[in-house]
Amino acid sequence: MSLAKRIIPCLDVDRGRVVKGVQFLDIRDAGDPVEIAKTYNQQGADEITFLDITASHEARDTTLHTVEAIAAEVFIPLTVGGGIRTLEDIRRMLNAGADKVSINSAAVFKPEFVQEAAGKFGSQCIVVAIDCKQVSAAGEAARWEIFTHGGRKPTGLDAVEWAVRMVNYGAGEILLTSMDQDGMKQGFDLGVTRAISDAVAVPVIASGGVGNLQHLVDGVLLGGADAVLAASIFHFGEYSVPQAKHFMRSAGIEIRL
Amino acid sequence: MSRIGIIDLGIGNINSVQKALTALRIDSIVSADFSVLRTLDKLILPGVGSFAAASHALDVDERRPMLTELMHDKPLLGICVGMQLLATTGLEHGANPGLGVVPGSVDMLSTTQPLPHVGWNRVCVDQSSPLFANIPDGSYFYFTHSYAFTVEQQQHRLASTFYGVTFSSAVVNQRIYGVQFHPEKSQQFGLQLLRNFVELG
Repeated sequence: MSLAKRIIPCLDVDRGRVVKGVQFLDIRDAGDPVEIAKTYNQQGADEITFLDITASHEARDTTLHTVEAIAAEVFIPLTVGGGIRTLEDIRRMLNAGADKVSINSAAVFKPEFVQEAAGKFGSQCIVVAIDCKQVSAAGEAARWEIFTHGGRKPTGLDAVEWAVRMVNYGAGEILLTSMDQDGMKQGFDLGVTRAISDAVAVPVIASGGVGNLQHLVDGVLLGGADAVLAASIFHFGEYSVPQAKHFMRSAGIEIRL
Repeated sequence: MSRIGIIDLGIGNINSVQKALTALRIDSIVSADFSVLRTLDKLILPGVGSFAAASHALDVDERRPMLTELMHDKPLLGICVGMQLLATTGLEHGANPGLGVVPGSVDMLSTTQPLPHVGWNRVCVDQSSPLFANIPDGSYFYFTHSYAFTVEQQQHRLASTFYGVTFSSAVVNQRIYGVQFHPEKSQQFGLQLLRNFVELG
């Protein structure tokens, strides 16, 4: 008996609207983030992740207002990511009501930023997001590399080594997204999820590729994830959070009902 | 309806506690001013960050003796570091004095599990306590901490939680309560606990 495994609906938000893409492209509108967050809160989600995918800086204030509005209605932990580059960005998000921030490209460009952020705000509120793709050929030992810019730019960084380094720098959690699987509904990349879960002591959140409830179970039991993140299966009403929770508990996973 | 004061010691974000009370349609006042806090019926002491920083915040402007005096006649709920501050001593970043209202000390969790302890964990509650009315034993609450309260006397332990080791997840001394978890982030049972505190006789 220990911590419950978490189900985390994820809101990808562009200029104040929840959207969902396939492999980071081909965006579909899924609705108002505050209403959607409230629904997931009522359904018993364990946490909500809000990823701001707005490209322009002008829309950043919209994001702050949306986070404030969600925090006024949702009484579960809220993680906010997207465009977090400075300590001031973090402070503003925490003041707006976020409990944690997710740092992605800023960590790649300046790894020490994670150290500074964890030193100032504590590891418990610093999540490092890793977007990776498998780069090993068939028959080779599996290897995954970090990509930035929506999957267009390879960085040469090995995903497993990077995760270990980020935890050493103070990351309290790793949000791991397989860009190969994202939006494909074929399940998580269990190989990289397992490799990183085995390599670090902090919680790993598996993300990218959930198409059915068995995929959530596999993420925990086969991938070793502490939390599973999904978007479209919940947004488009294919499954509800309680259905997912009951399914996972039936599979023997400790779940908060 | 009780008038609730949320004590703002400048240690971390206190907005989420007020937002939770607002959602329960409970009015509250956030203040660092003891002349204001003195006029209210019940107090909530939230806190995020280290015990040392919180203890130092009590040393500003005679807050420690004023808060001690208020606790003689007003119920108080400490949350997270606010709960830890009720102890006699805290050992995070050196030994620092707490408010000493619940005899005990605060030290790093001696567990083999990873720290910080972040996430949903079960709370074994004393259901005879009005603070846990309508909250089933074993309910999940949201935690985020590395240090925990060790009570000197078992009668002050109100709830316990297991994370590789069993620790006090809620403490009590008469009408002074403390919870290590975050009720304002613990969904329906967290809101129920806040409501219970507000409705205490």
